Amino acid sequence: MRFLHSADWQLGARFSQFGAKGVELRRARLATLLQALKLARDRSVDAFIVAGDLFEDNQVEESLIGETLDLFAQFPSLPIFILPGNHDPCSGPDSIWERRSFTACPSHVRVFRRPEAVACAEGFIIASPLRQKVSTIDPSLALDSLSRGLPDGAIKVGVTHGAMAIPGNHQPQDFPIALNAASRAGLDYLAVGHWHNWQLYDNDRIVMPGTPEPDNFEQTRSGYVALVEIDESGRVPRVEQVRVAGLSWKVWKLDVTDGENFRKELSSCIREAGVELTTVVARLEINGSNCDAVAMISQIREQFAPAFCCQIQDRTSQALTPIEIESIQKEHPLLAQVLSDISAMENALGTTHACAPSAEVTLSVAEFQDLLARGKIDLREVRPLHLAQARSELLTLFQKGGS
Amino acid sequence: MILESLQLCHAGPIRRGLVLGPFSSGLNILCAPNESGKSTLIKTAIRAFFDRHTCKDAEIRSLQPSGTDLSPTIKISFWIAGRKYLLQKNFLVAPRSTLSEWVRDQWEPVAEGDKADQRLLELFQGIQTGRGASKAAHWGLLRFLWTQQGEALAWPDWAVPAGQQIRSRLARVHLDARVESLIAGLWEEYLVYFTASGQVKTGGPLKLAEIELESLNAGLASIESRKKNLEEKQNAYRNVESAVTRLEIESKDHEIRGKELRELAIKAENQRRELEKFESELQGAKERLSRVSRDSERLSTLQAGLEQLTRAQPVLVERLARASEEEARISGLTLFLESDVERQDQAIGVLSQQASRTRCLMDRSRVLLELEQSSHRQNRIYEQKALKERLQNERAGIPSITSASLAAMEKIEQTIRESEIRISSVGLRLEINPDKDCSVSLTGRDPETLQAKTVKVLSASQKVEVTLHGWGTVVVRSGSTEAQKMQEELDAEKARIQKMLRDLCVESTLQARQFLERDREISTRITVCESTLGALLGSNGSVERFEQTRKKDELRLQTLDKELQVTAGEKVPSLLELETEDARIGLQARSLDVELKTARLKLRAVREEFERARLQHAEILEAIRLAKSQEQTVRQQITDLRGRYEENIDRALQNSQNLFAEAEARFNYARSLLPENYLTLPERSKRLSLASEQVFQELARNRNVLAQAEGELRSMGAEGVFASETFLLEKKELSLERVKTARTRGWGLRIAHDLLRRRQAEAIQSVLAPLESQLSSTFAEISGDHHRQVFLNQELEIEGVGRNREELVPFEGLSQGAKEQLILSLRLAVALELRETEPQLLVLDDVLVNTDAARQSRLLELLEQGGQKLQILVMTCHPEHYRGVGKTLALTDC
Repeated sequence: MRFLHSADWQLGARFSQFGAKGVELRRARLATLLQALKLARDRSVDAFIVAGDLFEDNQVEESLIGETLDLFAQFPSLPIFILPGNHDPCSGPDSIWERRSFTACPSHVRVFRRPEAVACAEGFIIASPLRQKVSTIDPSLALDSLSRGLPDGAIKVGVTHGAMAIPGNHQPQDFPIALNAASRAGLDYLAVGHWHNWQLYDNDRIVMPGTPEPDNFEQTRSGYVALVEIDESGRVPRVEQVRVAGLSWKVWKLDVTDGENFRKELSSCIREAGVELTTVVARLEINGSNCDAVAMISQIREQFAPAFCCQIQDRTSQALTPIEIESIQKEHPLLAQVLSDISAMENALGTTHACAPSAEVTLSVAEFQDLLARGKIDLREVRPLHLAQARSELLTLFQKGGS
Repeated sequence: MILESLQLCHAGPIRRGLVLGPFSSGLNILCAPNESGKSTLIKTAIRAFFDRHTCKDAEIRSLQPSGTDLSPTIKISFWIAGRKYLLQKNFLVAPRSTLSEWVRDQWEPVAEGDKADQRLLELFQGIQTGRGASKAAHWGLLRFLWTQQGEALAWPDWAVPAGQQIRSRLARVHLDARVESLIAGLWEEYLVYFTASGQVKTGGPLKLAEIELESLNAGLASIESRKKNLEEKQNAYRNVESAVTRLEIESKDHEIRGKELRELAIKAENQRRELEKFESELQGAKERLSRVSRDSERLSTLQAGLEQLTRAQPVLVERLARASEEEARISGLTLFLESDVERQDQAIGVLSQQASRTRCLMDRSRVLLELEQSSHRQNRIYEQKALKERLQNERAGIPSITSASLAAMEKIEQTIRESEIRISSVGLRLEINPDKDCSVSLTGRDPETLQAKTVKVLSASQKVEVTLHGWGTVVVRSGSTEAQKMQEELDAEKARIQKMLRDLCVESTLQARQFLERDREISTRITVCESTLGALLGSNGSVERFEQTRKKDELRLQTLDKELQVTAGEKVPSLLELETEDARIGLQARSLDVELKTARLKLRAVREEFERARLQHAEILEAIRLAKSQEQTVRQQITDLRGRYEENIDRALQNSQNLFAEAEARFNYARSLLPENYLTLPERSKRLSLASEQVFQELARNRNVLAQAEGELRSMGAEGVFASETFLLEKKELSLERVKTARTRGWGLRIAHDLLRRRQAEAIQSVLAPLESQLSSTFAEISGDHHRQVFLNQELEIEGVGRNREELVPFEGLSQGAKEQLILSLRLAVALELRETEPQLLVLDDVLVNTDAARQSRLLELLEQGGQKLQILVMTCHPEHYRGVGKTLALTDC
């Protein structure tokens, strides 16, 4: 018996942090699903199993369901077994699985709406779907009784969804699954979904393949599906970890303080991203201080423009060259005083800026508060970024005026 | 600038045309009366410099002569930036603007229309306005140098660029041009996001982002509401679903239980019928067994009874014999006792006769004694009776007078006497002493006889009418009313007592008293008599009864004599002897009586014993008879019982017991097969049926609700709320970022700008001392007080005047005169500062209205000194204040 085990597609997932790019990230997941289906067809599997959370939520748009079913319809000879997970539980008439699209879906697509065992190739697929979003009950318990009712010697593949009951590593209401759930129920393989990183348990009989398309920067073992082959009942299944993800989520940290070093780091990032920069979801955390920081950020934006998605966390601050500092102190003492005031206020707010020209008498917080009041700004709402912005505006205008 | 000449037509009070000038380059004094057009000249000149010729604002219209459509026209010749220009401008009607420059001794046009207007703005550093008229803030340096009427007490705002420029120059601060441009740049950028007061600018990027964010939040709130609604529907659906499941289970359970109950009822019915059959059989066996058992027991009883009867009969015969003997013995004893009692009865009878005669004799003796005593009492009674009757007769002859009536009469008599005394003292007193007997009548009184030679006194109260018979009537009047009244009362009293005397049949009160006392005496004697009589009569009460009693006693004596047959010569024992005999007989009788009672008691006891013996004898006889009869009956019954059964009765009993045991076993077995509560099965079935119906109805109702909720949930689920929310949240993220960025930028710009301004102001403040010194000096010249100093703040506004900063009098607290002098000093300082780069005209339109004459003369000196460096135009309607200084100008017609 050969099958492809996937889970946590989370179609329709929300990517608020990427704003308008969220649409493209959602489309990328559909593309990956198509790749996984093709893979299953190419490997001539007996079943394409989705172990929960095919969709992000029960209230996703109908068009997404249509697109998903259209993908399934492209593979009519591929039996597709879908298990409702905690994100898309079979919780009632409002669930996806009760919509007409799925109640009248193609015959090769089967949704497990209740615990049941269905024949598949030389064995059985035994499913324990989720019917609610949270529960403290191990959903694999339903597999035990179903498994015992099946003939001995048949290959038994369980499918369910939940967190592995690792002490301190799961929430009590997160459908905790016993670590020996497969052997306890006499299963040859237990296909589980929920966590988004690839994991194996119970002597490799429990597999959690993770999400096939990563959805955040912290995931290190996501983007895979499991291709499983079981020769006969009782034999250890052969599990092949196959990468199907269309996008890579990568984080780089750059420092602009040293221009030369920055350029080297940026080149390294580009190299690391590889030629397929268009498939990279990048997060660049830029730190440091440099008078050319703005230009450097622009350079990064330019370099990463081809990326699928680029998120720049700019924590740089505009800096002055020593010459500029000297020039300001000498020729523009008022400006030097103001920069010193800003630094003093940054100190007061808990941040420091080393590049400010020093002034003999700096601003007090009370004076600063009075000054803010003229512009109807509440001191309690002022953050270091506002002061950094003030400095940046001053220096940018100053430097623009100088040029 | 330096003004050369000025020509004005159709403006304000100037209907035709006026010319002013040429001006001197120093102090110019324009003296003209009120409403001659002085202020209009300056006002129109400013409008000409800074307002577009096409402007039709109310400010421009106000220049028109009132009630006309004339076009305000001005022609100004002036020097600025080393060049001489001529400005000709028409407003409102056929507006026109021409700027010419004096080049090579002739005017050459520089610009016309809007260009001319624009050029003028550039020359005067004015600020371009919109469609309306310009404001003071737009007038560049002229705002600070040209003082219009009514502006002598206020200093314009420094905030305008020209003000800033002047300020820095006054303070002698070399303001960094880069910093200046930085401030302007920052401010310009800030105003993109916020207004100058710090409000978010309408239409600005921040406002737009906030609006978008609000809209997104509203959308999200709506989605949240839909989600909540969905969640509520889900919960409701789950509740109903669980209720339906529960009811379905319950319904199935009812169905199963109903089926079981029906089967149980059928089975129980069959078993019940069989049980009834067995019960009937058992009842038959039971009855038969009972009957046989009863017969068997009865036979045994009869046999035992027969045996007992047989044994009892000889005993009874023996007892009968003994009873007969006892009866005979008691009968003998009874006869003996009866004769003894009879004998004693006879002895008592004799004794009784003796006692009776003795008592009769005693009675006779007592009657005789009584008769003797009563005979003596009878005489005394008759005496007393006669006495009493005599006294009563005497009393009957006495008139019935009571003590009260006597007392009343005596009281009246007393009154009469007193009245007569009073009348005699106050009334008339008539003394008649006739010569012979005669009669006299007083009116109202009976005639009275008068004896001769006897004085008769007649009294009357007031009037007395005396008829002297044979003579005539004499009327005497006293005239006293009181005496008359007293006489009337006296007469009434006398009449009253006369009536009483008549009623009592007595002649006088004295006689009445005598009668009364006699009556009392007789009454006492009657009482004594009655008492004596009562004692003599004793218990008889009356004489009649006493006589009756005597008659009875006499009759009794005769009866006793007759009864006792006492002869006349017979000696009758005395009463004492008789009483002694009677006592003896009594004692003997009581002794005999005791003996007789004892004998009678014994006789009664023996008789009772005899009766018992007789009864016992009869009983035994009856018992013997009964025993024989019973024996016969029992024998007959035994024979009948045995006759009922062909077989032996014991065997019949054994057979019946066996049959009963078998029937009972069958019955018990059949009963054990029946359910314990089979009797309640119909009721249970009925209840179950009702419950099933209720469950069915509830189930149907819940299924309807479930179907409805299912439909709603299906449609709500398909709405794609999550996707909509995702779309909005992603947009919100962008919007939030935009808001944050815009706000951060705006605040950053504002902070940078305000910090720069603050540092700039501080720089100015640090170098204010020279300017303060200059102003203090000027003000000291004007006021003549050299101890005070003028203080400025960092905005170059006059803070106040005083010996030091701590003791200064605030500007607002100064007099109007001091204020206008200080402001004029500042204007002079400004003008003098500005002339360093460009000759300046200082216009002072009626600025010294509050200044006293002494200070005015000092001011004139200052103005004269200023006129050496500045062009000054003073406009006034008081020429006497400015005589001898500067060049006097006059308004002349065109």
